[in-house]
Amino acid sequence: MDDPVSPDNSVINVKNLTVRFVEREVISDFSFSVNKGQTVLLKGPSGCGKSTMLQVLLGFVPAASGTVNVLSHDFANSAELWQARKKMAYVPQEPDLGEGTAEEWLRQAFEYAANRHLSYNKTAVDSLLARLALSPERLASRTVNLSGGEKQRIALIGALLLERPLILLDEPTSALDAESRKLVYQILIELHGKTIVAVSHDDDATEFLPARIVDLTRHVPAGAAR
Amino acid sequence: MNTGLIWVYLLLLLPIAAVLWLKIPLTQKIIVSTARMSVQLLLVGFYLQYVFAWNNPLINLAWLLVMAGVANVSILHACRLCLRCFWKELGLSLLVGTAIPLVVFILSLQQDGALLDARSLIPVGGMILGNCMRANIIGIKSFYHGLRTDQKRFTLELSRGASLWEACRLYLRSSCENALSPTLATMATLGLVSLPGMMTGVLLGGADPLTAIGYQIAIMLSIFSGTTLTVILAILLTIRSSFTPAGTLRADLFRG
Repeated sequence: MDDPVSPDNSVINVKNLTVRFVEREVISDFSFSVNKGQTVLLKGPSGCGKSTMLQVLLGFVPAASGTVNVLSHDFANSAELWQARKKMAYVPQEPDLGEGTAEEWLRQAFEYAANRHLSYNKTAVDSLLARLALSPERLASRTVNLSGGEKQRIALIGALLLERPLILLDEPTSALDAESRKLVYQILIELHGKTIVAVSHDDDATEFLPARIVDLTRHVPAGAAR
Repeated sequence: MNTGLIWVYLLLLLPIAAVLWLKIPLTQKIIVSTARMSVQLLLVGFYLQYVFAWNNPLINLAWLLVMAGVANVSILHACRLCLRCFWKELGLSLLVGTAIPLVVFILSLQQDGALLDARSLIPVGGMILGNCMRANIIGIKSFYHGLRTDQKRFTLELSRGASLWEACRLYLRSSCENALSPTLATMATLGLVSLPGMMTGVLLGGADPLTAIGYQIAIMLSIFSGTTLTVILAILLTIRSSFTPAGTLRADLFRG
């Protein structure tokens, strides 16, 4: 699905982005925009900078050159970057949920000042657990005892509870079986009004998730991708 | 100096024989460490004779500052952290964390209450500072190396809306626990397992056990207050300059 991008309605606006790690160029002269409500799948070979792109959008990896604007916040200004971060939710590929229980981790976010206007919604959690085929008892499990797939699903629940307009997903189904992957895609499809940027290697994602594909392959400096 | 010390040095033959027999590669370390300790203490004893004889408040304070400076460098060296990035903040926390309990200890327990007297300022200050150093090595190392290892968790919390302080607080809690647990464990078993250093010193000096216990309680509380203050202050003061404006840990903080 290749939706047109309107500059007035854009949630993400990246122009001529180049990212370097020490001497190595990871992304070269890359531009892309995402409109409000769009779902975008970042594709490309391993090492082409898909996960790095999400880190740039979160503000953790700086641009060596080019501009990054997310939700009308210009990342050239670090204060703006912190403001933008409060409007994003992120699910990493291998979520590190600390050492407590899954429920403690979910509740932790509501203790942060930025989320004080929200409250932990147990009904929403129970509903998401059921939809993601997770037993409610898993909430009481220590996160170190959860499998990779369970951690991914708990991290997704954590991201959805924050009701942020922009959701960034880094291989959110990499540790899930085909059935569980479909459950995740179904939830993402039903998120009306949210903007989603996902990195995925699964062919399932392209098949089941209606999304605009953004290919980073052309913007990989020679020798960077594996 | 007491010639009986020779017999105490001969005691070393026992551990050396044991490590040689068990082929534990520690013989050289034992000899080097013993030699270093002996030379360092001899030199300090030699200097202290003069410092105590002069008993000049400025010299006494300067001695304490030198001890704090050495502790500062030793902590950062042991934590494998950049000296240039942290020395000011750590130095300030060591001075504040040592000065407050030291002043309270001297003014409340020393009968003449002479704050800058060499015989109280230097040994009591040294005891507090030495313990602060040990606690800071554990606390600061656990905080910064924990953050470095847990970058993924840390950035995930920032992406969930945590401010830099809120995300750091998760690590501050465990670092303080790690740093203060040894002192708390020592306090909890004091007198049951061993008679501690200051109490032993006061008893050997001829005082009665109750006076010795009073001194020991005072020094333990001073040490605990000092270590708590310095560890918390050191972490709080260094956080400000340890992160990029975007909230990621600066890579140049670490040596090696």
